[in-house]
Amino acid sequence: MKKTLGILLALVLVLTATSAFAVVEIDYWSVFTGGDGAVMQGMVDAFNASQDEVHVNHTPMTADDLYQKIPMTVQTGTSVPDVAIVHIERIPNFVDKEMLYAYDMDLIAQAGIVAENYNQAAWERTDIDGEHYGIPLDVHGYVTYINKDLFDKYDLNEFVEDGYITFDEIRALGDKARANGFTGQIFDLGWMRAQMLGYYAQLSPDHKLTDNGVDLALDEDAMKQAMETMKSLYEDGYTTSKTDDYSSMFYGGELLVWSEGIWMKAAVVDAGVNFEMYPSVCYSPETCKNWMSSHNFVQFADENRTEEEDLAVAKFINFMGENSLTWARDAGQVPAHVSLNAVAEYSSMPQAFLSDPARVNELAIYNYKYWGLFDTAFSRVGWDFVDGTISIDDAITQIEQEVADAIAAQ
Amino acid sequence: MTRSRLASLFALAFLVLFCFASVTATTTVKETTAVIQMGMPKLLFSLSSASILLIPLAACAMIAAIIALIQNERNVGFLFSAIAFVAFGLFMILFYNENQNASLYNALSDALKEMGVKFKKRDVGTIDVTYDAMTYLMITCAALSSLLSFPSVKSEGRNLLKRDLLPYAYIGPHLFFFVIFFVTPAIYGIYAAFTKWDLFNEPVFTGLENFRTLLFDSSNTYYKQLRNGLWNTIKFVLFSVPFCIIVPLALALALNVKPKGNKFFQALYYLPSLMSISTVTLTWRYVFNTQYGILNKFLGIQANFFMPPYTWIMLVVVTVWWCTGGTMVIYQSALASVPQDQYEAAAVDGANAIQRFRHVTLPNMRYPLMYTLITAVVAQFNIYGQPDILVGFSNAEANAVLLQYIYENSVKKQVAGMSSAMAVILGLCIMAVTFFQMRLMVRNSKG
Repeated sequence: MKKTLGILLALVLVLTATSAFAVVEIDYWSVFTGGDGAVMQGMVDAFNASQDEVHVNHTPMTADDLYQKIPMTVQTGTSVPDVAIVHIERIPNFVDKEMLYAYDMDLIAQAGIVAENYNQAAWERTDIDGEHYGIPLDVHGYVTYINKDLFDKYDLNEFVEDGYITFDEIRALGDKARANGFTGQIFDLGWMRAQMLGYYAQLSPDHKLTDNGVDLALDEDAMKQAMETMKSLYEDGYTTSKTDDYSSMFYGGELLVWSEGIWMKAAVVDAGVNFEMYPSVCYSPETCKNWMSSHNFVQFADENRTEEEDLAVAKFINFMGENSLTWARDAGQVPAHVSLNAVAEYSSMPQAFLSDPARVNELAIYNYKYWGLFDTAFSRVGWDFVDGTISIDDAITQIEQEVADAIAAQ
Repeated sequence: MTRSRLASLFALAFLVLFCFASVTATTTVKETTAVIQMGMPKLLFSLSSASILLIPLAACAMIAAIIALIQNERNVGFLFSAIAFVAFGLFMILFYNENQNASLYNALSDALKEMGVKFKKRDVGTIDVTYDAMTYLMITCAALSSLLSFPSVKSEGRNLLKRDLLPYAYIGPHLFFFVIFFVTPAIYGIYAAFTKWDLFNEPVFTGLENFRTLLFDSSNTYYKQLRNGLWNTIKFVLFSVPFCIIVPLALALALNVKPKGNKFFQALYYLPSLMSISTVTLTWRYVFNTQYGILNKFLGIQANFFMPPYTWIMLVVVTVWWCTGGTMVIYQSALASVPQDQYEAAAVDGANAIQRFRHVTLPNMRYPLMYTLITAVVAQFNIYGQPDILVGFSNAEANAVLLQYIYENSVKKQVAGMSSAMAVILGLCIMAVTFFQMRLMVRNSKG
């Protein structure tokens, strides 16, 4: 009898001890798959190693995959991640479909998350109908890399002295480089949608995509001018062609000016290119704008998630914000956690100009509810208007028509 | 009335009752209880749960049972009615325990909003499901149909049981997966073509609206996409199918003369067929690369194969390279079975090699050629991987095929109803072409 009681007591003690130290398991989906995926995994590992109450399981996938899986996952209630990274432009549509839970501000404050700690341009865009849905990890966008060695070799530094490169300067530096013997290409037309939306934002100061929040309503004059700029640069021989491997060309010293995302900084460093980073190529320094987005932590609807798991998620998000120097250094991003602005190491990074409060007007973050439809429609005509497959007027009409028809058919 | 007839009547009752059966869903939010009733047919087409896939399985099995029982094949009838009983019973258990069905949630959510209750999704707790009397009658009918058709256990009957059911045991696993993963999605896909659906909310039945838009609304994006995608698909079929027949035929003929190392070359030519389309296209992407591709280097040109009009050349080359092996093996087999005495007779009559090929080889290969022609046409109508990976959606006007539009509209843009209607139209086109080819084949065989 005593023996049985002893065994029972031991079992109770073991069970109590186990439950007292139960680790909260968190499923985290992100859109980071390349070099930034490895950096993110490192940050997740650091969080897991920093404490023993919460364990985060990180599942990286491409953004396309995540946006395709999420509706099914939420609809069936199966394997819904406890926290996920999505692009800020997607959030209004997810909220509209009741796919997201708003954050419980009191609960996340317990973990140290308050609005004041974050980049306000990104934070405020996910305040919807009095609720808050996204906590920004970073802001990121399209900038301009130059090959410094080539600029030195062909005597082109005069064109970047003021910290900006204009479209007129692209032509001028291209002419000078070729006159000095450069045989490569001057400027790249790569991810057209990302480039174009930066140029569009410079010409349409409010960079509006909609008037009523639903229908796409482009500033057609601004879009037309931006498209004509690209087309004429291409036709005059200053840009790469559609199938050129522009990244390899830049790494190989065959491209002078490369329009790319800030997230490619680590790859450029790895390639051993002596580079400098500038804002998006612009019409004039006064009106310069860069297309920006923001990776946001969101919680998709899952009625089985407990408050304990919500708190664990909040602790994880706060850790990622406070420790995002790694994200800036190794993934080249601009952290949204404002504490990084006071860190000297961050201030010396090439992308730090994007978090300069004095230059906040240079950031163009879009927030259209049907961003996904617009993105797809724009990407389709991405090159067609440049190489003349369709006219610029037809391209604009096609984008607007395609979005309108898709909204009507959903 | 025989037991088989009685069993078939219960099986029929199962199907009829399905049209009238319903479930009742209840949930309580902030002390307000909402109750909704949803008919089984509506639930079936709500596309909102994996367990619902068991209903068409049960229905298909019950139809098969009725056919077998009418023909007095009691053992087979028992098999299928038992499958229907198990499938429907399993559905009732799984669906009862589901708690999160999106279709029921949406209906309850609407009911709560009508009652003026403000809530968030997480406020909605468990959804309780109860079945009505018709549903219980359905499962009873399935049980009675199975019991009445239960096979005899006498020794003779046992042999009959073995004789009748063994074939089904062999095809059973395939049949199960065929119904679940092919028949059911196909039925749902056709149904979705008549709806407006964003893949997230419940589809809204819109009748023939999608087809009207696709076929007659010339200002609509999808009207243009259908025409452009279908025309590009047809162009690809016209460009690629002749080469998908001629190249493997030429290789099979060459190997048929048994040159030295023919087994090695046979394996070499067959090898690409074993690779996935991603591997094949990514490999060729490097070959065709404008700056660093070996093809341009080898030919000493600067052609951009990713831009029209060269794109079609690239797509056809990649496709023929990929599909040659399988077709070549069929032709080799057909060539091996051509009677040698016919060649000898032709040689005696003074026929040269071309005449022997035309008058002996080709007539003997009529069926393999027709078979490969039909399969090649169907396969090339379904082209997707090559243009998607090699050229993506750029130059859509010149290159995008219909399946690219269908995939993009359904998965990326969540315009699933319209893209399902596109898929139905593509399916009808393939059926029409195949029907025409088969008619031609039958007429040739009679001639």
